[in-house]
Amino acid sequence: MARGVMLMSGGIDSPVALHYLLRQGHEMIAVHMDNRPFTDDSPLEKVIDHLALLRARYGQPIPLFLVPHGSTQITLMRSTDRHVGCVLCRRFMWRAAERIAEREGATFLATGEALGQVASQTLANMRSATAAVRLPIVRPLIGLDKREIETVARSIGTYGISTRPGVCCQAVPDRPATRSHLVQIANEETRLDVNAIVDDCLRRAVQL
Amino acid sequence: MPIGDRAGADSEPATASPRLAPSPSIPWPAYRTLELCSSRGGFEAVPLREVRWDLAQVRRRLERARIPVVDARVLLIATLPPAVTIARSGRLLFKTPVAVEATAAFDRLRAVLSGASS
Repeated sequence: MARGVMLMSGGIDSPVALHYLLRQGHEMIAVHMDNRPFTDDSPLEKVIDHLALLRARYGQPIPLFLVPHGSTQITLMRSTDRHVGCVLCRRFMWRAAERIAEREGATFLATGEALGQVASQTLANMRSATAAVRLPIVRPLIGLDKREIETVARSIGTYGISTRPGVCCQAVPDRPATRSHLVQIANEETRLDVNAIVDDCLRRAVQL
Repeated sequence: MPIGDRAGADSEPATASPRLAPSPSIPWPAYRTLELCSSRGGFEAVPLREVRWDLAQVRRRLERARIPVVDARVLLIATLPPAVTIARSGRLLFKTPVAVEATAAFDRLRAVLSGASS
């Protein structure tokens, strides 16, 4: 079995995806990209509670890394085309996760994405987002629909945590692109010091 | 240097400077009733007619009232408290699930921006 890094949002999907990977026996590390001040405290609280539940179920330590992401969001909002903000945001999440994976000796990244659920999860946007990293990305939920995911979430006890009240990410643009192009994304990033942004976030990351 | 002048600066709030130039009041639109947002974590206020606020001017008004502001250029986050997201369109999101707190924050924001007491 392998060691992997799982992006945890506090939503319904990521704990279900983590559950499948833990069930297969993989050794998992969790990363939460902290979107405050564009959200409230609830996503982090949910991730902490999801992990407590899954640690108890699978007897794994599942370390959690909290990576500040609000500063990156502000930079993106100030310097790049809002239309592709979600794709650019995801690229920075993947980069941070990959750096942590390399540091922790993990060989794959994982996410709770399912095809077509939201704007950031179209095939074109997934491709644009994940082109930022080299490690393989595992998506245990890719072919499931929302109802199937919710059924599993209820059965493992994470649904009630995920659906507690919280503030949605306020950095999401009014009309996010659903068919981004890698050339355009790369062009947007020429306005940014990508490595410096990732370095800064990881310097401020903490393990909880 | 105020934090909003620096791309990449986020959660360190800007505070009011005594040397800030006078800032005109912000035209305050009529709003729909405050409503709990879909994820139930905050209360949303949407203008009856969309406005086009000058967020730099809004920020100056907030700073003059010594309200910490994070400036993301396309939106502001002011900590009244509670924190409120202010969009250029006039849409407001108060990050509290408590209606009384959201209403009080709405009234304070209106007073600060428009100069009118509630």
